[in-house]
Amino acid sequence: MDSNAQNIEEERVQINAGRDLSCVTRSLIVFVLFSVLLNASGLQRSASLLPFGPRRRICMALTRPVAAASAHLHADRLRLWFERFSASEGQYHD
Amino acid sequence: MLFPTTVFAVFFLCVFSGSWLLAERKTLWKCYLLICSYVFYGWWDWRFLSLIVLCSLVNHAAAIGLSRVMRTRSRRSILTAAILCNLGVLGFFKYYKFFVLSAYATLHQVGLSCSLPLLDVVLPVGISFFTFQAMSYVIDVYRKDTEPAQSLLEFSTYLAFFPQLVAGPIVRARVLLPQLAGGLDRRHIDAGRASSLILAGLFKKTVVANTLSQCLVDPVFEDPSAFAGPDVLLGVYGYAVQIYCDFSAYSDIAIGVALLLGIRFPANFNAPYFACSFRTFWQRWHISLSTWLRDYLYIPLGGSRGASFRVSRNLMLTFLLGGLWHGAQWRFVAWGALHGFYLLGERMLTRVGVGAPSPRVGGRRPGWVGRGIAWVIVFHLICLSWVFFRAENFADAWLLLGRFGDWKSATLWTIPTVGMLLVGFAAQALDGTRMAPVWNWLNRQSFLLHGGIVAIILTIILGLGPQGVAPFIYFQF
Repeated sequence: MDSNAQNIEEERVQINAGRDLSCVTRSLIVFVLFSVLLNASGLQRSASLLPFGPRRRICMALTRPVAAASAHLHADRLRLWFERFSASEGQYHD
Repeated sequence: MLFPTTVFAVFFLCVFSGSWLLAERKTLWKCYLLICSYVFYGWWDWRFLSLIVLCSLVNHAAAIGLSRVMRTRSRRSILTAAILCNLGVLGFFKYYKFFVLSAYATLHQVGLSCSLPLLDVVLPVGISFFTFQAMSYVIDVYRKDTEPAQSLLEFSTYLAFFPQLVAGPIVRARVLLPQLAGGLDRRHIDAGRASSLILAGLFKKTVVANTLSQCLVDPVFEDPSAFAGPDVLLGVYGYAVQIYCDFSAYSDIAIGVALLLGIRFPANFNAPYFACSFRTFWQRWHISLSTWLRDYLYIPLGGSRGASFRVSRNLMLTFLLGGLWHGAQWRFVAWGALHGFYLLGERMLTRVGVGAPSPRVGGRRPGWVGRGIAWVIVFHLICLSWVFFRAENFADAWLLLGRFGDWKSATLWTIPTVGMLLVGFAAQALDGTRMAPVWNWLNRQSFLLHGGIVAIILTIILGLGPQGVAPFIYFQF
């Protein structure tokens, strides 16, 4: 076990790849904010497909203002463009 | 809880934050990972949590027993009991109905009729994976290849670690336990590789596998009689690409998610359809299962040593059981048998100097024409085996194969469908370390650019994929 742990530690040092935790956390926060903004319309659509009940109400209440902000900033265009593209190419969407 | 869903994204953000906050306190960190893993598993059906807890208790007790007992006979008894326990759980939940129905059919055929108790047993998700992991752990401790886990908590976390819990890769104890025992390194999180793997996995699953499934594979396999030979051929190619994209996507996402938590998993796929021999194919397809079968079944049976008959028997047994591992149906056994025959055939051809000789026997590497011919033959024979794997039953498989005689005009050979098939095939180039320059490039970017690029690519993937989330094919195994 000790030798295994040592090997893995050596491998980590050898690879020396990657970044520190604070940088990864900041990247993740940026990713989440960007993703939510870029995909707000899709999130709202998914929320609207949930069965009626408190979960749907909460999801709709959370996604509605984000979708509105996304539409206002035209951030939803990228996904809509690709959705239209894939639908016209192969009728992949329902 | 499926990987490409909002629920999993929220769950993972909670796990990520908690895991790194508790990283300095090793026991609390392992406790947290274990609870999160149980929540992940219990999300599907909380009742089966007791099964994984029981499995952890039994195997940990067996490993502790093996490390304390010195007498060979007692050690062998402990090992046998632990293996029987694991196989018993797997046999009851996965194969009970199959064996009862097969026994009933056999008795009926020889003119005997009896009523056998038939229970409607629900198959717990991931049972094949965590029982195999548990067995490999106990066998490794018995062989003294690995030390037993320091505590039940550590072993339970190893067995239930959520990224690989329901569909692999089957991670060996000697890979994961030292990482759990050693704690996390905050300085080198390979976020570039993790995000590339997750994006590649999402692309393969959401865009390629789901699209091929909806537009090509499902229609062809559900009603083969409605399609002519060329369309059926395209459907079979489609399934070969779909199952690769589906399963390797799960492995990629699992490896990426674990990397973000500071844990390294071994690769599970390495461009399998680029292989020019069956031997190479099995070194590249579902690597964690093929190496498991090699180390714990094929080699203990005798491996490649001994008379030709014994080697053939070992190979066939390994592949028949490997097929049965995938599912409790004869079509999976047939799939395994086909691969066993392929490998036997390849062995024989290699001996008489035909095909790609093994470097171990000092053979010369064939030229590109030879490799091209070998690739075409190997790929098509693998596609033939997928027909039995995917068809609902043998009758459907034969019906589908019979359609190759009807060579009328094709309707499914459209540019988007063939294009998607080729994209899925080319996605194998993302396997292994071929994307290492991209990982390193991402690691060098600022956090703003890294997060932004990943978000944009994710949006494109979600925009290109069909609506809805289809479960991963290997969830059923």
